[in-house]
Formats: sequence, structure tokens, C-alpha cells
Amino acid sequence: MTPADPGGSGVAGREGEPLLRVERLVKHYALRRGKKVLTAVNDVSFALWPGETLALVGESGSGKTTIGRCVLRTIPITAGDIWFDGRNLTRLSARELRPLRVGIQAVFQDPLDSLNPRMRVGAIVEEPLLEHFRLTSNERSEQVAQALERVGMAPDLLHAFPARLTPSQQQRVAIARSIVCRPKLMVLDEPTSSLDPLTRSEILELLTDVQRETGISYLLISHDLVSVRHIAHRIAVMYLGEIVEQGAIDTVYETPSFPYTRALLELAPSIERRMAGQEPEVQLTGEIPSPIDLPPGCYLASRCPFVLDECNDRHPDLEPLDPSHHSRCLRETGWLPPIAPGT
Amino acid sequence: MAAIDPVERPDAAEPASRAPDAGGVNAAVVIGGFLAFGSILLAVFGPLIAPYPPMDANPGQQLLAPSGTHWFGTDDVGMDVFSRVIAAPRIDLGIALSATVLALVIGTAIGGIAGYFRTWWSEAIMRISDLIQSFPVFILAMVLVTITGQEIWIVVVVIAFVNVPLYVRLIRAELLSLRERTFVEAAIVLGVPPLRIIRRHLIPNVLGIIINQASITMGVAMLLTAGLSFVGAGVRVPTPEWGLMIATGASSIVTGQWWPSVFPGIALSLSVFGFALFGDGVARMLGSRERGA
Repeated sequence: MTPADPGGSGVAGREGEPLLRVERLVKHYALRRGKKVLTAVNDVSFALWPGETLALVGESGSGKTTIGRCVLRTIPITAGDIWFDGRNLTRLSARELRPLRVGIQAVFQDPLDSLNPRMRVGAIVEEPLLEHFRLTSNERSEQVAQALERVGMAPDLLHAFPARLTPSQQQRVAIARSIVCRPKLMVLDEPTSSLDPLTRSEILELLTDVQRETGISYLLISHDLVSVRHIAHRIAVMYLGEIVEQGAIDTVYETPSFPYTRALLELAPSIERRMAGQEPEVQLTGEIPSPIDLPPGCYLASRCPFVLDECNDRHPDLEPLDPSHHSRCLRETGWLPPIAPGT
Repeated sequence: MAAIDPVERPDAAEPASRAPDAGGVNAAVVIGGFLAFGSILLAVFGPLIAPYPPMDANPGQQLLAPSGTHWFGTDDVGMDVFSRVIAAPRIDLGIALSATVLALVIGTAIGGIAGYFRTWWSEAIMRISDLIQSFPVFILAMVLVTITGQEIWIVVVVIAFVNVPLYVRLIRAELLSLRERTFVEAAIVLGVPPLRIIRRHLIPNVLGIIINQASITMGVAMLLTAGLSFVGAGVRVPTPEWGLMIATGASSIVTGQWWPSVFPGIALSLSVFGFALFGDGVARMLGSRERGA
């Protein structure tokens, strides 16, 4: 796989240009002591087509949220390029970027913290319209009402403060604020992880409905593999700042190739498997290596149950297994036993 | 019953444990508000309701003791102390309020910018604030008024100037943590320019703290106004002003005529106390509302 065509070959049946193309993205954090750097994102490339959902999954600290922030351009990036809708976002100044922000919106993990406690619901949803469009006050109210109705909020909550709302309503307001100016891309940073299970499925359903109606693309950042399977089309598994496996959602869930993906999937809660009394087959041992001193070989080598000698020396590339499935394992494709039923 | 009791008790205890706090807040607001509002009323109507013209010397009636005709007595040139005490808030409050508003607006603007942007010049602003704050406020104000001139507007500007660093530090410190909140990141993602983020998203969230600080500044500014006049660096005789009255009356205390300086002293104390109490109470009420109580 060449850097110029990241993940592109991985998707069959995509036409035209991707909406978002991230190329060789690197994000380092300089540490105070000494001259060491923490590698949060390590040479990550992927693409996202219109109307599609790509899920970035991984543990805390795997760099998935950092990627989201780089795409949103709220933090400076160390190296790489981010192409959105034909523009290279990394080459633009903050001022040049501002008008383009109308196309990229976000929903964050903590709904209450993402809403200004001093602003009422109506003002919160109206704000993007004020920034990006010249509309009369009536036109704005109409758009706000439409957006709130779309996310299932009662009109009488227009004048409520966020603290008075339930978490579900808070997240709906955040979604209304994001969709009110009809963006092409939305970064969903753990949008359901602070919600209870019932609310979670409501919000996920809302997001899929919005996607079906508007053809918006989602970059979904999550560690909740159950939710991911419901709404994502493709998945990229992150480990220590790099993508270790990437492919169509069903392919990766049914035939995971990288041992870490296997372990993650087997840890995901499954009532059927629990009831059948099955133990996870692939279990990782030991601790995740430090992102400050990355090992020279495969980053998983110290924890992998299938480790080979050469895993400790050679850092594997993301290789295609088939056109829609890439993996970073040195072992032969299909070596891992098929996953137990009931996932 | 025994099983229900321990469950019910925390519920019953909660309003009781909250009540004294809420009552205290209300008392502070009521008493402070009464005193502060009284001072403001006097600032507006004092000169109009004064029984005698507050600046009219009356050579035949010097240093008369408090009586039915002169409630607070008269001073060393025969001016009615009561009329002067109730006419003074227009000067004292006028100077203090203008200085407070000026300090608040300038300090909040500078502090907001220094708290949002983290660049070398925001550091420089802080070092300059440190420098100004390293001088004793009163000495600095005295020197500045003396070298620039004893006009009322200069007193206002100087009192504002010495208070600006307080606001800069306060607002910046609050913003440093506030700007890490997700709603600020959300505003950046929405494409809101930095100055508008400061104005629309950050400052409204520190309003309670600003109001609290303003009421403290109000008291400090009144003390400074009075203090400057007391040492002869503020407004001049015969302007009715509490500090000046205390200073001119002080010479009479040794001969037993306490009234020309004690009454303005009491008035000044009550007014300063009232603003401090009111501001503190309001800030606490705003704080509890924000927590959703």
C-alpha cells in the first residue's frame, strides 16, 4: 500500500474522490523532561467517502481521539496532510479555516460539558447559523426549530439551560447544533459512551437516520464495539497511535486478522457467549508499551500470544489481505483460527 | 418501620442542612443591599434633601454640637455636618463607581485576552500586572494623583488603574481552566472567532466572580477616594467628601468636637461594608444557581 492511496484500495465500489483523506498523519507531544516525545498518532492514513461511517476503535491512549482533534484542526499537527473536500486543511491558517468549518462538525463525549452552561438551547443551536450564514432572525428561528424537531426535542425546551436537560436531551442539542448548518462530515468522539444503554441506542438510531437523510459522513471514534457494529461501514483498529487493522465492518468482525483486534472483539460483551460459558480464546498478557519508548518491532510483540521471533525486530506494514481488508500482522493471512460464533 | 427510617432520614436532613446556608446568603444580600442601595439613593438625592446647603460656610456657627437644628452639629467653618454627610455619596460613590466600572471593563478585556491566548505577549501582560501590583496600592495612587493633578477624573483613572491588575489576574486564572472545557472546543469547531469566544462563551461564565470582585473594588475604591482626600491628594475643600471631612474634622477631635469627623467615618464604614456584603451574597447566589440548586 502506498501512502498516496491510503485505505482507498480497501474499499470496493466507492466512486469519485473521498470526502476526507488523511495522509501520513503524525502527532507528537513534546515532554517537559528531556527531549523525549510522546507519539500519539504515528503515520496514520485513511479515507472517508460521502455517506459513509468509518469507526476508529482502540483503547484509551491509542490515539483515536487525537486523530479526531487533528481532523477538526483544534490542535496543531506534527506532520501529514488532511484533505477535506479538495482542500488541504493543514496548509490553512486559523482565519482561512474558519469559513470551511461549516462543513466539518463534531459531537463530543460529555454532552453537558460541550454546551455553554450560560446559553439557552435556542441560542446554542442558533450560533453556527450566526457565524456562517446571513439570515434574518425569522429564518434562523425556523432553522433552529427544524433542527430541534429533527433530533426529537420538544419546542418548549427552546429556552431551557443545558443543566436542566437530561443527558439524552443534552446530546440531542449537541447534535442539533452540529446538523443545523448541514455539514458534510461529522466527527463523533465517543458520542454515546457517557449515556445509559437505552439512550445510547436512541442516539445511535438518530445518527443513522440523519445519515440516511442527508448523506453525511461520520468519523466515529469509539471503544464500544457493539455500537460500532450497528452504525459503521468500515472500521480501523488503533493500537499505540497506528492503525493495525482496517476493513469493511463485517469482514473485520468476522475474520479479524490482527491478534489485537481478535482480543478486543472477544472482550466485547456478548451475552450469548457468556451464557455458553466460553472463555475468550485470544487473551493479551502484560502491559501496553509506553508511547514514549516505542519498541522497534511490532508494537504488540510483547503481549501477543502468537509472537514470532521476527516480530521483535521488524515493524510490520499495513498489508492488504484482500482489497477491502488490511492488517499489520507478519503472520500468514488466515493463520488465526476463525472467531467463535456468537459475537 | 425500622427498615424505612434510615432511608428517609437523609432526605429529611438535607433541606435542614441547606437552610442555614441559604438564610445566611439572603441575610447578606438583604443587609448589604439595604446599605448599598441606601448609599446609592443618597448619591442621587442626598444634595437635594440636605437641610442646609452642604458647601455654605456659616462664620457665626462654628463647631456647634449635634442638636435639633444641626443633627450632626457643624464643622470648623460652620457647615452643617448632616447635610455634608448625605451629600458626600454623590462624590464618593461617583468616583468609586466610575473607577470600578473602568477597572472592570479594561481588566476583564485584558484578562480575557491574556487567558485565552497563550503567547509571549500574554505572559508579558501578566508580568506588567505583577509589577503594578508589587507597589502598595495607596502609595501608588497617591504618587500618581500628585504627579498628574488633583482633578476628579484623574482620581477616577488612577483608582481604576491600580485595580486593573486584579481583574486581569482573576479573569485570566478563571479562563485558563474554563477554556479547557468542551464547549470552548465546540465553539472553535463551529468556527467562532477567538474574540467572540471570549465574549460570548468565556466571560459570561465568570460573571459571578466579576460581580463579586466589583463589589470588593467598590469598597476599596471608596476607601481610596476617602484616603486620598484625607492626605490631601484627592478632592479639595469645600467639596462634601467623607475622607476630606474626616481629615478637616480630625483637628477638632483633640478639643472635644468629635462630630465633624466621626459621622462621616461611620457613613463611610457602613457604605463600604454594605457593598462588600452585597457583592459576596450575590456571588454566592449566582454560584449556587449555576450548580443547579
